[in-house]
Amino acid sequence: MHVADGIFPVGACVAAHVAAYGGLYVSGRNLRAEDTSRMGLLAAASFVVSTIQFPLAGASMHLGLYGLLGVLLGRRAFPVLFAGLLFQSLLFQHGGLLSLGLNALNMGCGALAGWAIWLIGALPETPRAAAAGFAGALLPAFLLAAEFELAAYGRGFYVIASAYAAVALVEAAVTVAIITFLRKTKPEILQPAAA
Amino acid sequence: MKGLESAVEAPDSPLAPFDPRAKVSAALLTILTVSSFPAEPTPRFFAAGVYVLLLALVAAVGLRYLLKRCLAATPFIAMAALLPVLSGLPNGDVLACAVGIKAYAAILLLSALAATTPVDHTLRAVGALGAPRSLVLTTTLMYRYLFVLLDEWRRISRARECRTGGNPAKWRFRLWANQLATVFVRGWERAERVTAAMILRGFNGSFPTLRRRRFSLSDWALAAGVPLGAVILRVS
Repeated sequence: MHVADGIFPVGACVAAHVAAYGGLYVSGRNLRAEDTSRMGLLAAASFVVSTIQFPLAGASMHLGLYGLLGVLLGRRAFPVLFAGLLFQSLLFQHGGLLSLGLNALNMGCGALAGWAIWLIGALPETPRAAAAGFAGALLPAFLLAAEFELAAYGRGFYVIASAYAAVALVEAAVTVAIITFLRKTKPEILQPAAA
Repeated sequence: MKGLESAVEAPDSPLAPFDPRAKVSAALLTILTVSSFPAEPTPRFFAAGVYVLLLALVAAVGLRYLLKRCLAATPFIAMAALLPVLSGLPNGDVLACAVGIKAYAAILLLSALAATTPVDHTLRAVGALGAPRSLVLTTTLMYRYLFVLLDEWRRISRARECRTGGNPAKWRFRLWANQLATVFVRGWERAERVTAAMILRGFNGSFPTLRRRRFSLSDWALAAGVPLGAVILRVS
C-alpha cells in the first residue's frame, strides 16, 4: 500500500506534502527532546513488527498495525509513521520520496482513527481495540482508493480495498491480542495519550 | 534485512564521493521532472526514461541490486498501471505505460542514492535541505535502534523456539501476537532507559557533528546537471 512515485500527479503529491507537513506540525507540537527518543524507539519497534512475516492460512503476510500505533502514541503516531515511511522510502524504495506526504497522510489517518476509537471510553476495551486495529488498516486502503478515483484511474481500487478487509480483520485480531498482552504486562503503555 | 545492515552497497561507485545533499536534491528534482511529464507516448518521454536508466547504470551500483529493488516495487506499480486498463478508461494503456516509466525511474534514482550513501548521511542531508527537524531526528533514532530491536526479536524468537520445541500450530497466533507485543514492551522499556541516559548526557534534540562538508563545484554540477538533463527533455 506504499504509493510509488510517478503514479499520482506532481501537483497532488506536492499538495499532500504540504498537508502532511501541516499534520506533522500539529502532531509534533510541544515535542520535548525525551519524546523524540521514545518516538524513535517505538518507530523502530513498529518497523521491526511490520517486517515480520506473519503465518496466515499456509501463506504469510506482514502487518502495518497503524491502529495499534495510534493507541500507543496518540497524535504522536503521525510523526512516527512519517519517519518510518521516510526511512523505507530512502532505504528500500518502499513508497516514493515525492509521494511520501501522500503515504504519510493515508497511513497517518489510519493511526489517528485508531486513536480516536480508542478514546471512546464508553465501549469495553476489546471491541475498541478490535475496531482501532480494523479501522487503522482499512481506512488507508479506502483513502487510497478515493485518491485513485480522483486521479482518474477509475474505481477499480475500491475492489482491492474491499478485499483488504480480510487483512484488516487479521490486524484487528492481532491488535486485540497485543493490547490484551500489554494490559497484563505493561498497562502504563496503554494510558490514553495526552492530546 | 540485508539491505539494512550493509551500510553502503556500492562504495566504489562514481556517485559515492559526492555530497549527500547534492545526491538527494539531484534525485528529488529529477523524480519531480520525470513525474511531471504528461502521460503521452512522446519520444522525449521515453528518452527521459532512458536517461534515468543511463544515470543508474553510470552510477554502477550493480544491475542485480537495481533489478531487486525494481522487482520489490513491481506488485504495486503493476496494480496501479493495470487499474486504468481494467477500468476501460480511454488511453488506459498509455496511462499504464506512463505510470511504469515514471515509477521505475524514481525507483532507479532512489536505489542509486541508497546504494552510494550511508543512511545517516542521507538523513542529515534531508534535514539540511529543509525537512522538519523532528522528522529527521525521529528517523535517525529509529535507524539507530532498529538493530537493537532486531537483535531483541531474534533473542525472543530463539527463546520461544526453545520453549515450544519449534512452532506448535495450535497456539501459533497467540504466540506470534505475544511475541510482537513483547517487542513493543522491550522497546518501551529500553526507550525509558535510553531517554534518561541521553538527557543526563545533555541531549537537547540534535546531534551535533564536527565534520562540516563544503559544497564543492562538482557537487553543484551534480545537483544541477542531473535534473537539468531531464528538464531539457521535458521542455524541449
